[in-house]
Amino acid sequence: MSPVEWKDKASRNAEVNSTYGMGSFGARIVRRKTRYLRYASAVVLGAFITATSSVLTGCGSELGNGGDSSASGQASGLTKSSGQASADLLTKVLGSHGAIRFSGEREITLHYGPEGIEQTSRYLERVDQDGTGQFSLEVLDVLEPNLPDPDEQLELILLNQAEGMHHRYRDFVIQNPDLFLQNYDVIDSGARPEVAGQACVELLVYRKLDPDCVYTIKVEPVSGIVLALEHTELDSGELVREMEFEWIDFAPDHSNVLWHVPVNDETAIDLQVQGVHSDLGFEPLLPKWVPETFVLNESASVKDPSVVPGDPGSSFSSPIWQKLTYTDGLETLFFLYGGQEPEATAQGSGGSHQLFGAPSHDQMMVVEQRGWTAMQGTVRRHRLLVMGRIDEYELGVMIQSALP
Amino acid sequence: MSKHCKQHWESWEHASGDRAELPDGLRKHISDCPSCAAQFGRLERVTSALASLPKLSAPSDLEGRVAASFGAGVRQDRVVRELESLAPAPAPSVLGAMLESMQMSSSTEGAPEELRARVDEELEVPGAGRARSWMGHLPRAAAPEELHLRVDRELRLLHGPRLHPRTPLRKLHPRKVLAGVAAAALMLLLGRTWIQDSEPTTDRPDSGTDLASREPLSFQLVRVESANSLSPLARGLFRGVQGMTIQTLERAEPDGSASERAR
Repeated sequence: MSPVEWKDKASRNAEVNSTYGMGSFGARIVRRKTRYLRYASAVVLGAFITATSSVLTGCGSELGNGGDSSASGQASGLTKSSGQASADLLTKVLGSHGAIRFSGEREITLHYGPEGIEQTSRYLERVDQDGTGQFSLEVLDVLEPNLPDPDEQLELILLNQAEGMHHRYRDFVIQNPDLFLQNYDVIDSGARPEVAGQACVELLVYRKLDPDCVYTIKVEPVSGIVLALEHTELDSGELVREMEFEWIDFAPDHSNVLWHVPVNDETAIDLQVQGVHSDLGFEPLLPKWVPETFVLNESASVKDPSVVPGDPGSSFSSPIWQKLTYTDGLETLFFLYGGQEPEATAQGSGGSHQLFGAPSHDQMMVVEQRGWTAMQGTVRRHRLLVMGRIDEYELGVMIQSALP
Repeated sequence: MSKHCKQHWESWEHASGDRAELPDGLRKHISDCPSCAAQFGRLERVTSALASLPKLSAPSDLEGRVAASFGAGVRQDRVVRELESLAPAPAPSVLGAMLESMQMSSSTEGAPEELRARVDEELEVPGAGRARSWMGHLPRAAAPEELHLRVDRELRLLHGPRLHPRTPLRKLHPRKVLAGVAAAALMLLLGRTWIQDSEPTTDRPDSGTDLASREPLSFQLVRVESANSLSPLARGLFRGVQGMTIQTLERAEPDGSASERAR
């Protein structure tokens, strides 16, 4: 792990300090439910990010050359002790996922819906970690919307089915500490809120390059566990999701816990193998270009549970996909490849929009929601699925760079 | 789950989530093992939820369509049998007279010369006549404007004085020449500076990589308004990373269905 670079309230110059509290200010006002105030918060938060980015740009070389927290502290006028304390906290946050034993209950709120239509899903979730990598997430109750009982039971089942995905990708998880430190700025807002009876430190996290959202996290300083989170889009000022623990126990009894068991047969694969990969049944496909700041984090084979081999109803019988996961430290980018369809099943289609070059019969569907973009379809008979919090142009170029 | 627990679960062949159907051994084990009790609780909830799902009725015309589908072959066979049983009917007497009349007419008048020539040509070079005929029906395309300009330029060079004769250099004043050269140099300098400034600083994928030199890739991009239109795998991943479910997805759409629009 590279040395921790910490930028906190005290490291800002007088101009930024005068506007600081902006972290907590921004966090407070985005909670308000009126659209007007949300947009106002976006403007203020955007201005804040711009101002801090300018300052960071100004002293970035010093911080980068300094190479450790004390150096960065001295460069920006920090006392060594406060800089080191902050760096220690950030180190704890980076290493807390899966490494701390605890049980707790937390409320997850998701804001979704078509543009301009506010819809919310809120549920209560029990979370257990044994500190050695085992975990369990169980949604206990759907709080919003108010569903009839059968629907609520189905919602619970569907949510619990995605337990592994929620733990790995939905939650605020630092996928790669080195990259995170390289690509993200973390700012101590100065606020010290209490969450689930625990005194917390409030931090703002946002991407250094072209930030489009900000994470406001409240961290329990001893364990580094994130006890509350607000994920806010910067362009619209809208909240994407919230999480807050109701209680947490750091000395729990786990005798009744049923730990998560993966269900998609995910198996790590070696991409250095030439030719047809034995785990996949086809030759792997790697993008030669990925968005700046992203690097390959995982390579695996996964099984599509919805495909039954030999089923005449499916256009292609193989349920195996190559799954590549890229990360910039925090965000995740997926590149899934399902092999090349036999010529007979290649589908022509009508369509709509030519993205790159001359017309052809290949087609990709694209859907965007709350910053996420997914593209899925077939190009030159190659079955592809890419998704991430990047735009469709970059996803398209990834595809282009991957195809032979 | 321990090996001991697994043995108990494997003894239950018809897992239904109904506590009454539990084998005695497993029931006793569940009462002693909290982990298995929790798992059985989940199974009960799944069973209960699935049982509570409304049963959808088949479309009203399904029965008729199935019957028609099965009956189609029978009807076809019947038609074939009926056709085979038909005896050839004698031609009416008037038909013989008409044929005779046509034959006589053909032998006396003969084919027109044009037809005779075309048949000969077709026999000699098959397809040539038809190709000529089709090409004659093609619309005449207009020449591009560039062609007109080039022809005009060539004609002016060949035949006549320039319409806009240039000013001979010797008549230009030296100061004007110097001013012109200076202006051109200034424009070149500014142009170069502008090009340098406008070069992208980030490594956007279309700059500086070898992608630009690759064969152009094309595919149609169809924008859909919800993940419902994606495959189950894509839908699951798309919702999972955001913490949503298919149910929330359906509620997010006013009509509950994926609407697609071409972009």
